[in-house]
Amino acid sequence: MSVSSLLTLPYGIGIAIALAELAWGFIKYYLAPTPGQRREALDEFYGVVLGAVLTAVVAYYMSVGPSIGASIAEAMGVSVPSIPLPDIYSVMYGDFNAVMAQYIAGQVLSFAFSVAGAILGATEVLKPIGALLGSLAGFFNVIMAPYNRALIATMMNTIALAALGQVMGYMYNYGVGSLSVALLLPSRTRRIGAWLSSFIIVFSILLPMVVGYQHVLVFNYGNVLTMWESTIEQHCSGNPVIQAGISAIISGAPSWLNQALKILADIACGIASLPWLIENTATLVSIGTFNLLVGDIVIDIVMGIGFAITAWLADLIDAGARALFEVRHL
Amino acid sequence: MNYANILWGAVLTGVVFFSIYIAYIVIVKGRLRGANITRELYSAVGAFAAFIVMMALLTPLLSNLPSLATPPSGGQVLAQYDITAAILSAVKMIVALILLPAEEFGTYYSLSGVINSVIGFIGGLTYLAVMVIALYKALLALFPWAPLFIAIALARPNKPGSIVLMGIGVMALVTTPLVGWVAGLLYSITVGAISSLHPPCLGIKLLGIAYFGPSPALVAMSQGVFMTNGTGYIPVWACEEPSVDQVAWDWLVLNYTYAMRPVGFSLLTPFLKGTLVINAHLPFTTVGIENSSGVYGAWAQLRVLRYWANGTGYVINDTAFYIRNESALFWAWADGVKANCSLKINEVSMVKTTLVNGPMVPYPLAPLTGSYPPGYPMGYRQMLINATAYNESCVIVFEPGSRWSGYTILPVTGPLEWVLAGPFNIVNGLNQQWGNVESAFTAVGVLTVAVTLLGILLLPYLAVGTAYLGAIIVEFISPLWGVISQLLPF
Repeated sequence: MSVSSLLTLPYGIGIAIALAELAWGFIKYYLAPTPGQRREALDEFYGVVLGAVLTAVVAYYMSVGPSIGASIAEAMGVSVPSIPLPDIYSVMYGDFNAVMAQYIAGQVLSFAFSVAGAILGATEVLKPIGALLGSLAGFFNVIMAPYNRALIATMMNTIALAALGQVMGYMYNYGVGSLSVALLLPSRTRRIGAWLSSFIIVFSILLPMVVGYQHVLVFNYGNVLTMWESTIEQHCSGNPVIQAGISAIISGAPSWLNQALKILADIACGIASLPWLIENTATLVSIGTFNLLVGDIVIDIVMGIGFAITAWLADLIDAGARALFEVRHL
Repeated sequence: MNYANILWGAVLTGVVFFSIYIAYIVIVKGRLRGANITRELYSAVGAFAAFIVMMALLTPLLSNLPSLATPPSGGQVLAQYDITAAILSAVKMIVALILLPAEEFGTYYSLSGVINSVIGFIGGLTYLAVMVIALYKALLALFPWAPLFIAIALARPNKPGSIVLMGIGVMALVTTPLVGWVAGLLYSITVGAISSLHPPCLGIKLLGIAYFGPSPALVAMSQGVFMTNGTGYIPVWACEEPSVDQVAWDWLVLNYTYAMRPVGFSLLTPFLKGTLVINAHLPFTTVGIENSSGVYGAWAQLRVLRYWANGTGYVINDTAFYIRNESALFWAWADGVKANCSLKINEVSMVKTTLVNGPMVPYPLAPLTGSYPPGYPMGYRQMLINATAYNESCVIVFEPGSRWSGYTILPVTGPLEWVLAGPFNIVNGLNQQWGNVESAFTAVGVLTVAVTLLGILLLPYLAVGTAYLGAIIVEFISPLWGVISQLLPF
């Protein structure tokens, strides 16, 4: 960390507030009219110095919080990336998009089967194919139902974490951490300062840790539909008849038709090897679903505990600040 | 999650936390500010001691599973669900392929509804089981931290945050084993139920049927039963080669041969297994007693025993035969026989007869799949008849037995037989067991709430107890610390 970076947000604002606190301490000391009040001011000044130091370093604490969180998670046997507080919103937004894209892709696929079935079913000749496609939508919905539920739960978590991340990001960027410690000094603002400080102390570590865990879960299990499709593609790529058929049909065709035919060919190939398809899907979907659900519950519980600890710590900080910063009248 | 790591993480966090907290009380409040810290120190030391005691009691529990049950595999439950639900859905596809082109929409939607309800039920059960298992896994990770939460609450008992932490700590301690028990119960029920539904194999295909012989015949196969009337395709398990076990017509067992013909190319080729060609016949050519509503018997002229001058014999219709100046031998499968000439009747069993077992489909669904003949023949005798009409005209009349009739709308074979017999019955059975699961949930919920509330209400009294414990420890250590500090050179 260079010296110039200390003058930028969020360190700069912390240092500025700390300097203001010290200046206030000096002013009180020098303006004290009697020796007794001067001793009081000196006594208070020790507390102000300690407060100024805390004010100055809290931004640093907030910046290292994510790596502390990652280390704690690592110690508990869960490997998570260290995500800086200002990046939490964008990371969660990205995860939400990824999960939502999978969910929508699944729904669109199912809807497309239904519509194609209805259209083809309206013709006399292709009625069996229409019936097949219509019930294929049901087949797809059924095997993906638990996964879709897990995706919805994950989406809700990413939204909540993104919201908290945005709050923490603003707090970090605009030096609210430093301000919260400064608020502990005057007795009138001590209560709100204690709550803010407690929130920042707990969530500077906890939030990046939980977000990292959620991000890993989404990274590993949030794209099961895509993985499923590519597994089928891989499985079917070895089928020379299908490959030759596709090449013959789609040479010179528009790219959307090309893609649609490929998906249809994959589906036909997957259905042709139904036992493989079912076993493969069951393994892939079940692992992803279960881990996402466990993660969702763990995150809900941990966040609840985080808020309880925040409340507990707020009281302790309030009492500690009173002991440290309250002036003892002589 | 590594539970040993979590356990030691909780121990270390607690030790570090209480060390900092006690140091803060002694150094900041006691030394720097000169405040009276006696009561606060007693509470903090007592809470720390209580934490150590609780951890010492809990550590063997966690390190020595199954004092707490090992979490069941939620992934396995989901995999079982996916396999069963996928097969059920594949059966629905096959049903659609058979019924929709025939415009049997009502039947399709009824059966589709049945399959959907089975899938919905096992889906709900699976989701519930998986959520409880996932909750148990999360609570297991929280369990080692419960003493820390309780100890923190005991250290400062009069604060709102402490009440919440006490609640969380007590709830985690009480709920974890109970949820583990419920998770195990649900896991056994779900896996037991879904495993028992597990299909014989994962491949489903349509088998074309080409039947040549007296109709409507009832064909019993290795994968189920169907009537030849109305049957073009039957659903079969792809992993089992279908074989014909018996062909019956009018309760008479027919001689038969069958052969599998390979499937030609079509858009539905992936769904087709081929065509089963069945040729069936009685040992001799017969005349069936039948009308548009069904078959009522059969008879055959086996041979002419004697033939006088100008002798003649011919079929009048499917119940009557005319002879003159002849003696003829008839075989009949009918209620009786009458004639205006001499008859000699012997009951025989030249052709084997059989009882009929229609498909085992629950009653409300049976009419959707078609109609089958009664289980056993009524009013039938198998006879050898010697009719003699010398110098006279004789009309031999065969009297009809009970009706043999049937029509398959949807063949209850292979996977469809599995769907309509196994899952439907098991789901019905599980519905009856559901009360037990509800009772278990209620008991766990009530117990957890009661103990948690009790813990919160007892918090001040427990805090007094831990403060006494802290006082004993502090008062015991203080003189020792006095002696040690005298010995230290600084």
